[in-house]
Amino acid sequence: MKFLQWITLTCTVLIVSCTSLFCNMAYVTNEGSNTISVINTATNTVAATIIVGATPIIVAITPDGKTAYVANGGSNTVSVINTATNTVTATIGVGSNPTILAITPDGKTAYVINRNDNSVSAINLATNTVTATIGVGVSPFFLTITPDGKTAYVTNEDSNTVSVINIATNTIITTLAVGTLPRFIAITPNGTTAYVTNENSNTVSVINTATNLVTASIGVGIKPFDIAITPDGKTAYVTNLDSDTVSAINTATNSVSVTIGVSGSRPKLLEITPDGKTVYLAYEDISFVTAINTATNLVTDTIEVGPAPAVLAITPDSKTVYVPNSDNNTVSVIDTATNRVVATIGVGSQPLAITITSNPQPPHSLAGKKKKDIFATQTDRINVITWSAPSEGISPVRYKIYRDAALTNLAGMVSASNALKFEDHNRKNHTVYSYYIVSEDLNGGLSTAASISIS
Amino acid sequence: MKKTLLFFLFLLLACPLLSMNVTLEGKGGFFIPPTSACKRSMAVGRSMEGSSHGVSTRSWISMQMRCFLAKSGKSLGERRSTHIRILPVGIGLKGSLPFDPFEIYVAASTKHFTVKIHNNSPYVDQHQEKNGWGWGAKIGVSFFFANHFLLDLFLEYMRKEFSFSHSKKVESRKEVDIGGGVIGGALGYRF
Repeated sequence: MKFLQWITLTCTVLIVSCTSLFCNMAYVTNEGSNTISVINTATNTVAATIIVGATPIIVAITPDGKTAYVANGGSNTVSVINTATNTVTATIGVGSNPTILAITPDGKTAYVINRNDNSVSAINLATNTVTATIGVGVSPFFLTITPDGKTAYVTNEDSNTVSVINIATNTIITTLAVGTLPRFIAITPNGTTAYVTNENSNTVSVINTATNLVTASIGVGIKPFDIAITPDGKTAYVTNLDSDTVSAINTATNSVSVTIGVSGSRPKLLEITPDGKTVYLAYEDISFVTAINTATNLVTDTIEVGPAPAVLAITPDSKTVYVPNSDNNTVSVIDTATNRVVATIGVGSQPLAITITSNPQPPHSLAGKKKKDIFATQTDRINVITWSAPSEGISPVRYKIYRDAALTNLAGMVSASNALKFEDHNRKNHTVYSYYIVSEDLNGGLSTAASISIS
Repeated sequence: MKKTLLFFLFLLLACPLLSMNVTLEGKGGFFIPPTSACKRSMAVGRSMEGSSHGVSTRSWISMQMRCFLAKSGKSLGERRSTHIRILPVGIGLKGSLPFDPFEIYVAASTKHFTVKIHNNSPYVDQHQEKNGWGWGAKIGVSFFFANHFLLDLFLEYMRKEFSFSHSKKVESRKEVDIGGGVIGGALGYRF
């Protein structure tokens, strides 16, 4: 089970980094108590505890934020959670020992690794049924999906290969030979290149996703394990378990640009803040998290957390890091401004991985105009703003319209079920008015603001 | 307002005592608001409506009490309903030229206006009321078709400017001319 824990913790880190999740509710898998703790990231309190299948390993959340899927490694099932009510609405039978679960960007299909069956189950998320079971290599370890949602890559630990799955047909396109003991895959944000850590050959394999050929092998430290790519796609960071270093790979030249010595033993899991400024990594042997400045590639802080820190998750505003501490059943909350632990939250037994819900995207296609409503003795001058709902991500439940960029002066709110229009009455003539509109989801998560001025 | 009405009522009741011939008329008319905004906002609404009844003497002194002049319409833009009611009460001089069975007359009077406006919008002042003194002029012709009964056709113009203050931060207009024209007819009985 320790081995499984090791696998699943690291997998979750990469899923978070690959899908750039933005948070407002954090879902923590508690492996020892077969529950999910739901943490409200605004208050850092447990909002709900959900009983799921045996040995929950990882949570994946649909792009619209309405549903969470949990791989239950010990019961060979996937639990379906309604995120509005935080209740289990369905349980789907899959293969033996489901570990890693990823959802396509269009939210239509989930892929689950069945580690003991050497297969991947494809689940139709509309019907919550398994539509295909795809045979892959021996001991599949990790799965990730390209940003365009067309291809899934699976590392096969014991066959030293990567299986490439065509998502449209749920068939294997090709199987690529990589290094020994392939672990994690990270795909660049533009989707052109995949990087695979090979733990026993101390290399990173580079895969061209257009041709599905291995184009390079980069030597890194001893026992490379986890990998994450900065949001600008320029640098990949790799933890080297046995050399106590982090390798920074220049993705333009596919060479190690710098090797960063860290202060702890066996750096294992890492995560990059959404703003790309800081790498946070957790160690296998010590209760610390280290922060690395990506501009200087220097260690800036080492923060003490709970014992056995596992998967890091970072809020979309890059302000907070959540660290599950498996050995004392808590989650440490780190303020990235000060790199200090600001809260410790009690959760279930053996918290393993955290997945944080995305924030909605801001509205787009904003348009504004002025109009008048003339009465015999009075005129109501009206500013009219219209917009379109975000085309991807979580569906907002309403929109908030502010008069200032600091988002302190609320002008009004519009329900997403109504016409997406706001009218600001009794405005003055010959005056410029600015409006800032943010999307709000069911859990109160806010998008960044989209602004418009009417003159 | 009440004192003004009581004053005019007193004058009307005093007419018989002053040996004046009193005519009681039921009137209907077409009210034309005077100001641009008022006219435009009312013009997009329902057809105008107006009615009045009054008492006038046959002598040089004329007193009139109208029930109201009213009009409903829609605001320009959002097409919200708006209503205006005007109660003009006046006293003045009247000259008539008989061409039996017709009688042509002209009149000028000072009038006390009471104006009530209701706007069906939460973004402007919904209820407004003003009163004050203005003036009016009238020309008409009466046709006596029976012993005491007459049919009256008239054209009247009234003028009174009001400044409305507004409680909301809404753009307001000063010196709104609230009078206007009335084209109407009446069926009367002369005592």
